[in-house]
Amino acid sequence: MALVPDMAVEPLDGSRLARALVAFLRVGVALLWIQNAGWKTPPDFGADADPPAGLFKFTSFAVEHPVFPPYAWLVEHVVLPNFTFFGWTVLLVEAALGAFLLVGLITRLWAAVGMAQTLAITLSVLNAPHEWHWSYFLMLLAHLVLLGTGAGRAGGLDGLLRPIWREWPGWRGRLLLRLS
Amino acid sequence: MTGNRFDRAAIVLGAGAMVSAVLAFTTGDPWALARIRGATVALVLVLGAVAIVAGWRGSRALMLTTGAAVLAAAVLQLIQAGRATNWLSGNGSTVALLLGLGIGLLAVGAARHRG
Repeated sequence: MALVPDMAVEPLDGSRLARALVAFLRVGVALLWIQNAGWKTPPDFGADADPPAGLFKFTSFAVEHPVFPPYAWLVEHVVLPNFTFFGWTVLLVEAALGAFLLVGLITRLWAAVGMAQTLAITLSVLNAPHEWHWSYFLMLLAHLVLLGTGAGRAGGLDGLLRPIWREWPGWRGRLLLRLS
Repeated sequence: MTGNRFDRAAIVLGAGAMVSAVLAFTTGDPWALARIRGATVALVLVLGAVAIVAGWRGSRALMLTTGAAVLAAAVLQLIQAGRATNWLSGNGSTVALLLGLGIGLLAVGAARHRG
């Protein structure tokens, strides 16, 4: 049962302004991920620096200033000993997040990936010195809006391609419609 | 001409690539959203202009070729990021920007004949 039935059936604003603002939010979040990919520097991602720097240093905060003990254990025993693989994975995921959100392609999938990545970052650095906890909560909430609105339909390629995907027979079209 | 919505999307992506050249004038946080330096400036200007021409002329082949070229540049930058040999003078942010523009142009070009 809806808590406020009358509000539950009221459609969201579909005006040009609302769509433009959703597109602006999507591109803005994409640019943040693009910028964030810039300091993930291969091949060592800061692990070989003395003292450690870059992504390695910030990932180490999960152990030095634990937020969630099982995650700290995972970072200490799995992530840090295999940091080259982990660093490349982070770089590729964050570059892809920026790329796909920028053009609004398969946006719901990438909004969900963005939430997962934000959660991983939050669990690493939330308790580290000089971190502002609102940053991570706001990142998470912004991705929720992108996911909830299917933001690629506003000024993105999803809006262009969904009518085509809708005509595709079989599971491929249905999957792409769900992910966008 | 530019009546087709896919053609207009190619024009927007090309214009976006050209506009990204202004990032060459930014240094450090918070405004250096992507590292656009050296050869990348020429790359986004030239390939952005070609994408606009592709959209203007409604050329699917040119959209796909341009998208593939931008994507190839993204892969090259990914391989050379953080290394002494870095032809595009970029980093992970350059990879992300070029990846988005390349995938976008490829998707628009691939879908155009269905529109």
